[in-house]
Amino acid sequence: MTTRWLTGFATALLGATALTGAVRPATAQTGKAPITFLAAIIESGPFKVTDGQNLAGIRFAVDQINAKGGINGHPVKLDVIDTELNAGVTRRKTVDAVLQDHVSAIIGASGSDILNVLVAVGQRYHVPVIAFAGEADELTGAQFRPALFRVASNTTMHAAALVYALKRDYPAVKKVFLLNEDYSFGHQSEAGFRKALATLDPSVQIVGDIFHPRGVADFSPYLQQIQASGADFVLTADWGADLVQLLNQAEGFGLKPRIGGTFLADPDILKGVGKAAIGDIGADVYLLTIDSPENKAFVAAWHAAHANTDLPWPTASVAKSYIATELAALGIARAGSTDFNKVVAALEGLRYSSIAGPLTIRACDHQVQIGQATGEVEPATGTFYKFPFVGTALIAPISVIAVPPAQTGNPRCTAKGNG
Amino acid sequence: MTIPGRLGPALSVLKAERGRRDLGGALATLALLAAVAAAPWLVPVAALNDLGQAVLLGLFAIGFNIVFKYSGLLSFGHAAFFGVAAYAEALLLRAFPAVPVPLLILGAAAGAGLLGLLLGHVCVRRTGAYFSMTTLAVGAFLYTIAFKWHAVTGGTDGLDEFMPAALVLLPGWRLTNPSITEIYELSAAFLIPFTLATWLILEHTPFGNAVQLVRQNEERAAFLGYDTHRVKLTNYGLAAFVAGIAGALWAISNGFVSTDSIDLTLSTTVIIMAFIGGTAWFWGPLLGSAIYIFGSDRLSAVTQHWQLWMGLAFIALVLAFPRGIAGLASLLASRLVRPRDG
Repeated sequence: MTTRWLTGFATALLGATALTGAVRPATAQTGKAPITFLAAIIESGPFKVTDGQNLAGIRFAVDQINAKGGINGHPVKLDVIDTELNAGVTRRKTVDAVLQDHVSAIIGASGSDILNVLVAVGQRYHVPVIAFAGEADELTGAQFRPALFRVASNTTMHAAALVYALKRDYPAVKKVFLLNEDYSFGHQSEAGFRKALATLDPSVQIVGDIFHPRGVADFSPYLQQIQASGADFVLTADWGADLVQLLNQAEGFGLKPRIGGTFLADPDILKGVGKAAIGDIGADVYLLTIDSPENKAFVAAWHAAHANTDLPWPTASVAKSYIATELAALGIARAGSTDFNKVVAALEGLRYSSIAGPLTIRACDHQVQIGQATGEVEPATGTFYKFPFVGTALIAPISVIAVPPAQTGNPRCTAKGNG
Repeated sequence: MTIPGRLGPALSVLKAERGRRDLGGALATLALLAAVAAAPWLVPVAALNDLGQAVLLGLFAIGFNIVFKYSGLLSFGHAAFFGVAAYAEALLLRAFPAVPVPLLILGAAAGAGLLGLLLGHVCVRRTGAYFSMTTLAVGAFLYTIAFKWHAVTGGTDGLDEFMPAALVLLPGWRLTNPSITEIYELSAAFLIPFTLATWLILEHTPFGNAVQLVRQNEERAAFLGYDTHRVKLTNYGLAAFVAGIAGALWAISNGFVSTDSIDLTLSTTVIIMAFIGGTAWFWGPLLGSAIYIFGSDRLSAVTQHWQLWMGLAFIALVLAFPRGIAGLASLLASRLVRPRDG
């Protein structure tokens, strides 16, 4: 009896699943074959929330492209795979999608290792990959592969933007402490901070550094070391739960120096911190408050479509994914084809006014060159959010934060005449 | 040996029953391996891509099940051997690109097997939850090394760019930029003979009998003169070696190795695969991995909550069919074959 009931349940489940697939909405009917984009997103596990923002940005861009008639009349169809933040799974699902659905562009992905896998697949099957995350310098440097175009800044650019903001907002700071997570990204960020400090303000002394394990519950031993070091400021590339814990415990501990964080501008972080973050600084490719006609129109359109969701205003993740999707469409539109070589050629050197400001895709390494929006966490004013968030966006110019072609480690950039 | 008169017919029935089971098992084994071998001609390339991964994870799950089914020990850290072999294969390919790849695979797997013997020396002295906890600790320890030792393992970025331009199979036989089909065939070429050999060793040799005797009653086995620790240790080393072959092929198949290949999630996933397929049949985990891979991929394409559905389906399966899909198939087959009573 139990077996029969369970078999029936399983059959019903499979049937429901099949039906769910069968009744998915079709893409806009324009008479032309759809062009398929593949979004590689974390849809399960603890990092699902962050990538939920990325998927929302991609979907919004695809909807807008289709509303404007698609790409040269071809509607855009969006496939989504759950990377599960697992490189093996990502490779398998991406290859499947590329072989079965003839994907014309891959948009992804959180995690440098995951992005690395997407690029390997893109290179093998001749599909361009437009990255909204995955900041490891090497991906557009020594490990460059032509399939990758990166909208997210690299680790060095991101660190330089934070140091630029530190110098601008806290000119009196002379002693800095570096606090990072003990894994590849944390180590690369620490190197980026050191390099940026040495370049932008050699008078600033690094009085200490710590690499702590990910998922720390108690930051007090580290906070004591920071306090004892006499540091005026803390630079960190901590993210997610670690960053929330750090900011909250720093307030309770009575930490004197303020904090500059690579991911501190994310409202999902700041809503869990409140007033404790006021005075801290953040930097990213995009901030909600960028003062440009393109961004104001984007913010209005986004809010009109998402006012009653848990993402009423666009975030940096939303914007980077949106720009990545726009770039994929622009490349195909300009190439007049989905042919890999033509799209790559069309994207190299491309310039346009994005919602985050004017950007250029550097031809030699495919790293997007764009100024970074930086700012201080300000008390809530009732506009946008009800909690303190990074208010006024001030742009760290690309001329200050860019990695010069000769220093990328990319042979195409170091060759004479490139860059 | 003379059989007492009244027991003779009963034993004959039991022998006949066992003979039928053996024949059925052998036929199912042949059918399964034939399907694995024939897949490149039967399924499209995209499905072969999935099947290739399923076959490798299935081989890994068989490695896990060698310890679980034959020694009665539940390992929570078996990904350690899979991962170590995967990293070893990547480093060997980078260092010796001109050496025939079968030798490198055997070298990486032998390394995993030796590590199994070394760690097993401590682990298999424990039983039950203590064994499981020890393997969990060993797995976590090796994961931490992979995570931290960036210079060798690449940390969370992993290792890539280790595949040579042409994979040397034998002197004078190279695969340039191998296709999905060629990688699959390479995997099957290792899976079929090695798993068959392992199956024969465990099911049809005195060593296999000794392993099973130790599992059933270790005290009695010791009284009979078996060195029970050595028997369990050898079986653990064999399981590590099989997992190592899977790990080495995994590195070649994917073209990269990251901490995903050695983490605790993989150690638990492989347990789920083995239970789905059925741990009572040697080949059950191979079935389980295919069902898991195809099921999770298809389900995740239609709903974000696929893990919930997978979890529910797994619970339902374990409750309804504790011997897994292989057990269910065996039950159905025996009902079809067995003559009805009365």
